[in-house]
Amino acid sequence: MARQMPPVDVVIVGMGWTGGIAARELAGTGLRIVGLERGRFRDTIPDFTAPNALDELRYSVRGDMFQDLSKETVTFRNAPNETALPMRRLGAFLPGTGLGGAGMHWNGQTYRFQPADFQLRSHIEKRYGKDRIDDDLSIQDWGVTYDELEPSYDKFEYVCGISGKAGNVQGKIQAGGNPFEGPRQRDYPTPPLNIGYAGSLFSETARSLGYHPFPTPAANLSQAYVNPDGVELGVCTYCGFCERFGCYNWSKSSPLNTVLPIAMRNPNFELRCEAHVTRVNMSKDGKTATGVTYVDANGIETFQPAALVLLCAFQFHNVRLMLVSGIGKPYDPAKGEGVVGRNFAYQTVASVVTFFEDKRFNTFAGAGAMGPTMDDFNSDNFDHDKVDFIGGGYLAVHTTGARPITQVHLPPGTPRWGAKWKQALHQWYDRSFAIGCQGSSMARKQNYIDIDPTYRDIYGVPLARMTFDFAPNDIRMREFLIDKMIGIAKALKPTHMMASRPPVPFSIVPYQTTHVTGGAIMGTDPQTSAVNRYLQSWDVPNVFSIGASAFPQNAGYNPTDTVGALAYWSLDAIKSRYLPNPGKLM
Amino acid sequence: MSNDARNSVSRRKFLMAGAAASAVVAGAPTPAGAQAPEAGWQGYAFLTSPEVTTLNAIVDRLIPADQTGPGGVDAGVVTYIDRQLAGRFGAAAEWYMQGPWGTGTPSQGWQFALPPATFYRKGLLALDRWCRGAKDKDFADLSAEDQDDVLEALAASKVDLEGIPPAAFFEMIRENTAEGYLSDPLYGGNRNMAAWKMIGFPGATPVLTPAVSLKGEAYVTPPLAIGG
Ligand SMILES: Cc1cc2nc3c(=O)[nH]c(=O)nc-3n(C[C@H](O)[C@H](O)[C@H](O)COP(=O)(O)OP(=O)(O)OC[C@H]3O[C@@H](n4cnc5c(N)ncnc54)[C@H](O)[C@@H]3O)c2cc1C
Repeated sequence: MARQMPPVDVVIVGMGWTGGIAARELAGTGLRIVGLERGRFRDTIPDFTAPNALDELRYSVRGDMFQDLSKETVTFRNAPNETALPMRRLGAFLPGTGLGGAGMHWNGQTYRFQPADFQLRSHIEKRYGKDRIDDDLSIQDWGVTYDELEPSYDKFEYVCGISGKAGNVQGKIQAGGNPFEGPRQRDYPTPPLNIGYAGSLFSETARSLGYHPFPTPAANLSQAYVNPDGVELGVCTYCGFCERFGCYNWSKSSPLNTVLPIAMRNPNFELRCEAHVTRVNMSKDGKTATGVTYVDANGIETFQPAALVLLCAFQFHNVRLMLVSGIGKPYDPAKGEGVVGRNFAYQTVASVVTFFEDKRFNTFAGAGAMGPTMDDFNSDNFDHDKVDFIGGGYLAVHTTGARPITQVHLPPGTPRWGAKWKQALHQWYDRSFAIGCQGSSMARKQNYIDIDPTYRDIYGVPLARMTFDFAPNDIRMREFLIDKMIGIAKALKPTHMMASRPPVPFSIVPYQTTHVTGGAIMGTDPQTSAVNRYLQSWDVPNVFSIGASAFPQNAGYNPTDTVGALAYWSLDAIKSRYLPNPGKLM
Repeated sequence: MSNDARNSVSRRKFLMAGAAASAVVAGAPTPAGAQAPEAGWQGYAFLTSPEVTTLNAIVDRLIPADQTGPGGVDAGVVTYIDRQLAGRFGAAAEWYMQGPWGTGTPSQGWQFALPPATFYRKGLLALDRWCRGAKDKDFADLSAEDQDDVLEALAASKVDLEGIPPAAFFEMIRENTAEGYLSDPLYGGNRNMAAWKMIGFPGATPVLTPAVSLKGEAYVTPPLAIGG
């Protein structure tokens, strides 16, 4: 028999970006809240002090802050007719664990999606006709518009203190910003970071070719900043240890230095770390959640009754908890029915590395979002009549560091070991930079998440099974973006250059991005979405599922600005409509 | 402003001061009395002496000593690998190790039931056995040229390692060797930060702001290791 805790009003599963935002937003309501986090408690001191936090082996190579796969992983296959096998070592993506979640070890590239991205299917059909969308694609509209989300984007960016330059303030195009962006109500809270030498070379060249580079909006702060809640953030010192590391300097916005300090001062909030949630408990009729069950650090199974359950456990875990708890109908690709697990998508990335024998870039001095981006080939910013795909991506030069084990580029043809390898390392270290693209990922009928029939986690719960391969549309798009990157690279006149593409079919081995999306997607039709436009389960109205799991497909950007905006959007609806009158919001 | 935030600020200032102070110390000569004992002198935690002999020979070919910079052996790579194998990495402590086991497709990645420590133990033994059969000598006793040929053959899966997948075995050693060469000296390799000095990586230096304004010339600063 599970130990039983006193009932509370709200239980939050997962205390990363979305869980932290939820706890902060509910802090003034007087409700009793419990936040459950499977990983351990941590804080900048003592966990991320310099120089110990600047340890490539521990954090990047051995993955100290990532999900411990001995406890839980996913199984994976490329297609429904294959047998899925567990992801035994970390590779393509790096889910976080511990207080603050992946929000502690993100890079901090903080982009909004484009207005057209939120009406993807209707926008494409209207502009290009229905036959422009490949038959295998199951893309759809989000059920929320950019204009509706704008205040929530603004809120997330101001809570974080994002450093950037607006391109479109209330419809007026601003020099130096992104002219393609949707209108924003005001400029970024802090000015852009230094884009560095590599970034300025790229920008000048891109501009000379008629493109529109702008400084990447960064959660690595260019100035000290006090956010609207009075929480202070520091100024970035370009140490080059963002992605995969905790920030020693309070200068990378994370849940720990934005929303959690306020959430934790609420006397009605209780944080329990090392509490791994294994399922959402349901009433006999399956229509209401009664709370959640978790296993604590001592292995004690515990039932936490709650009136409202907020799933904030990151994309995979939100979907898996819904599937193992019986919340919503599982998706069946053979019949094309069901919704939970449907429209799993990813990100389509590639890069072109340029080498210069006569230049030093000091790329070891970097920040997660340092450098320029251009959106000329993203979303529907260019005419798709002349190309054979839909979607697009940004091109960027990000100087995130030059950590020697994992971030060194050597010219094509360099041997992988021996005297020549060492010579090349000596000669070429810090004489290169990469142009990268972050392409959209269209949802596809045969890409989905369900419950694995064979493999389990250490708690005995079945693993999520991921079935995924790149859509042919996205591979065509990727080649287009690579062509554009090669065009710019050539104009830079490098000594050598080298295009690099993750393997097709999709492989779980090389790191690509942790931008997994979908599986509990939002919408306005319960036949094609698992949650409504407020992220509330259609079937179990006292469960909300918050995160990138709600994206119907992924756009050509990193997800977190949109994840944060959706969290605020959902919490607004919970506070203003659900709490006064619990029930279906749609 | 919240109390928490105020605390954060003062702690941050303190921390920055601490970081700057340690950076100065790193540039100055270390007093002889404060020198940590040379890594490796205390013996090996996991590797047996025949294994050390073979691994020394392999690492010496993967990163030979020459005028460009230190060799892998001098840099402490074997000590590094030994400590890794004796610890959580060697035990695959953070890998999903539950069966059933299958071979899978290349996209499905690593699917071997043996943890790295066992992988090394069986692989090194089988490698020497293969060398004795094919070349009449242990790996360590072959000429440098022959050793390179054997390593190429391993990488191409042309050596029979009695059940250990040769290419994956080679790849693990190659990866671990590069890690030991380039990671913080804390882990037993990259002695005296020699590999970092060779390439100009500043290590764990927390403040690099001046470097981002340079336009093509190198920012030169002595590297900082976690242990100072
Ligand atoms: C290396 C890396 C770099 C990134 N860089 C960028 C970037 O530059 N820009 C960008 O936009 N995005 C980036 N991201 C993505 C970003 O980190 C995520 O979008 C963001 O953290 C998602 O917030 P979340 O709340 O959904 O998940 P998280 O922040 O990961 O929080 C989820 C929390 O839930 C906990 N949890 C999971 N399961 C359970 C359970 N069963 N019981 C209890 N707790 C549980 C987890 O331990 C975790 O703490 C990056 C991610 C990684 C890994």
